[in-house]
Amino acid sequence: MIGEPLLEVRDLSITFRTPAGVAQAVTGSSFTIAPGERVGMVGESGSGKSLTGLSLLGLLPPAAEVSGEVLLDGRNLLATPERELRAVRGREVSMIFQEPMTALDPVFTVGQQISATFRAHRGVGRAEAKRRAIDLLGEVGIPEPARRFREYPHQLSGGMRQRAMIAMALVCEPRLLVADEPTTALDVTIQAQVLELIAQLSRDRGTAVLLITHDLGVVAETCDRVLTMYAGQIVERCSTDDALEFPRHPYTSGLLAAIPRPGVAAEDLRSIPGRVPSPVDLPPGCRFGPRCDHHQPRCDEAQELTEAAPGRWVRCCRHAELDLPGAVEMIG
Amino acid sequence: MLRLLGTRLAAVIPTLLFATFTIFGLQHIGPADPATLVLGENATEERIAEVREQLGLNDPLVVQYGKWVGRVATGDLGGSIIRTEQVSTIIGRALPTTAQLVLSGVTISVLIGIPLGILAATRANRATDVAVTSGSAIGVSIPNFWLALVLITAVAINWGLVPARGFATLSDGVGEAFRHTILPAFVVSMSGIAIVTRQVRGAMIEALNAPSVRTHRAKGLPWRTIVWKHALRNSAVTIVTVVGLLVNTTLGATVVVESVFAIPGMGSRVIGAASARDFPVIQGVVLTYVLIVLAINLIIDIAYRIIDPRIS
Ligand SMILES: Nc1ncnc2c1ncn2[C@@H]1O[C@H](COP(=O)(O)OP(=O)(O)OP(=O)(O)O)[C@@H](O)[C@H]1O
Ligand code: SF4
Ligand SMILES: [Mg+2]
Repeated sequence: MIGEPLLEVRDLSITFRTPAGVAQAVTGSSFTIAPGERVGMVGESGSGKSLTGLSLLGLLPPAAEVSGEVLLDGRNLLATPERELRAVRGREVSMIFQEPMTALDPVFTVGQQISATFRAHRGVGRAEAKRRAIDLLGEVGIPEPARRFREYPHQLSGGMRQRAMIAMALVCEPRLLVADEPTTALDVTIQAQVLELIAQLSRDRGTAVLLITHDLGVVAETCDRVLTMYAGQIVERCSTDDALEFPRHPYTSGLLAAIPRPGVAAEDLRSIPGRVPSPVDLPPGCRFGPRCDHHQPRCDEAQELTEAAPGRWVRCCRHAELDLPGAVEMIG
Repeated sequence: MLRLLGTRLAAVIPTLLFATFTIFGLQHIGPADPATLVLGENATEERIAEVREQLGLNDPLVVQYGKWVGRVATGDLGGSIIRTEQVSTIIGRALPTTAQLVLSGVTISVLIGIPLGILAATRANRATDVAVTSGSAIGVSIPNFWLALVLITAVAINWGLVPARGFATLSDGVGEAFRHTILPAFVVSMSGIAIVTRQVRGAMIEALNAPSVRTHRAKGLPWRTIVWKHALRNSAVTIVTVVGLLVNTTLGATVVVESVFAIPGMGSRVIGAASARDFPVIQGVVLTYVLIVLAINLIIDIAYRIIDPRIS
């Protein structure tokens, strides 16, 4: 990577005290995002993706206990007071969510919600904010933007709602967009369109994106680099091409085998056997150990994220000796 | 909107029919002859025959009901048996008094209840919330007549701040009206404050936990905008419902409170008429109550559609 990163996450850990014990939702996460770069974050449900995303806006739930640093232009958002964070949210860093129907406010029009963001940060008048919102609705591919401006979220289709969410997130030209499963709730054909829209807007405007998903296929189409999360830890961090062609972590390889692809029936997709460990009861050694086909006694020691090759980081002591199948072999 | 109003009004008709039937039936419930009930056991035959004639009791029931509904529909509620006055005149005098009391009471409930509910919701399960919630639990359980007597003794008699009895409407001057209204209005608002607080708290907690609140925060909106604009707007349906129902319960509360404060409103009239068995007055007042409740429900129903864009 060239130049200063826009965002640098250092040793981020997030825990919760629960009746069952301390839940380790995120443990020792470190990664960077360069200006304009699109980074994917994949992992199964409960691996800590959403919490990581929320931490980039200083939006963690009040019960979360957090350590480490989230540096935006060198400023630690985890130590920034709420008042100043408000100036960051929606202007420097924006976020869109999985379910646009519930993420949008049902009793305000789409236009009001987009304008409100613009007005809150730019202090412009109603008319100017409206003009800007209508322009943006057009840019995200919503037909008849002036009419849609006046409509309520329930009057839009799922895909249009997510486009409106994207317009709302981008209205202040933020430098980083956190997209948390933005297409999971949409039809397959709409999914591809919305992903393409995010990628295109990111290219055109130089907006960096953290794309959170449980589907490596989504990352493959959109992102430059990928972070694989398992049970609160980053287990592999590398370029998308590397991850797809030669995954170094058995979990990444397992996710690749589960990507839906042409010519393979859904029931033939190999999903990883076993279940994600509970965050209050994690294995002391490799957290993936209980589900790993390559497990050996030395895997029962805590695994560190180590640099396997320039720009390639893997949390697996056996990464050098394993020859894991990537997406290419699977298709071939 | 007009069509909606039409269908809603049509839907009210069965309720109204049932209500008129019940109200008309009032004087025929019970074993005694209504005329004897009115005049007492020692009345002369001629007097009883006279009152039977006046009440139209010699016709068959259906005819009586039909005649009564026909008269009532044109606004003729008949004459009082005890006083030499038309029932509509009595109601016309009492209604503004009660309306002033009810509206003042509801206003106090809303002005105190909504901020308290919001305060409790934004501090859910913390000390302020616990204090507000238990306070409102006490609020609902205080009997109105007891609170009225305590306040009359303390504020009106001992401190002499306001009159202990009687009433003045706005037509008697704002200052005078205020001095007479404040104490009874506070009494009738008491359980309303508690109800509004509790309902607003519940609705606001739900609204503040909605996923859209996270979106608003992610946009960088200030917390007070999220609370006072977005969450409050999302709670509006609940608030309108509660306030509407509150008008009805407060109206009920005025019956006792008007008696304790000797306020010449609908409540005093209906109690006076009940002990004198003055059926036309009872029927007139109860019918007015029914019409008010139906009107309130209609207003709530229409307000929903204006407030919540999802109901169409
Ligand atoms: N407020 C909370 N209190 C306790 N535990 C929490 C809380 N929020 C999240 N967690 C736990 O943190 C872990 C990570 O949650 P997170 O939402 O980040 O997962 P995710 O990777 O986004 O999963 P999904 O794919 O289901 O969205 C989960 O195990 C969850 O149970
Ligand atoms: S450390 Fe061992 S158990 Fe863990 S992923 Fe690597 S091979 Fe599998
Ligand atoms: Mg999530």
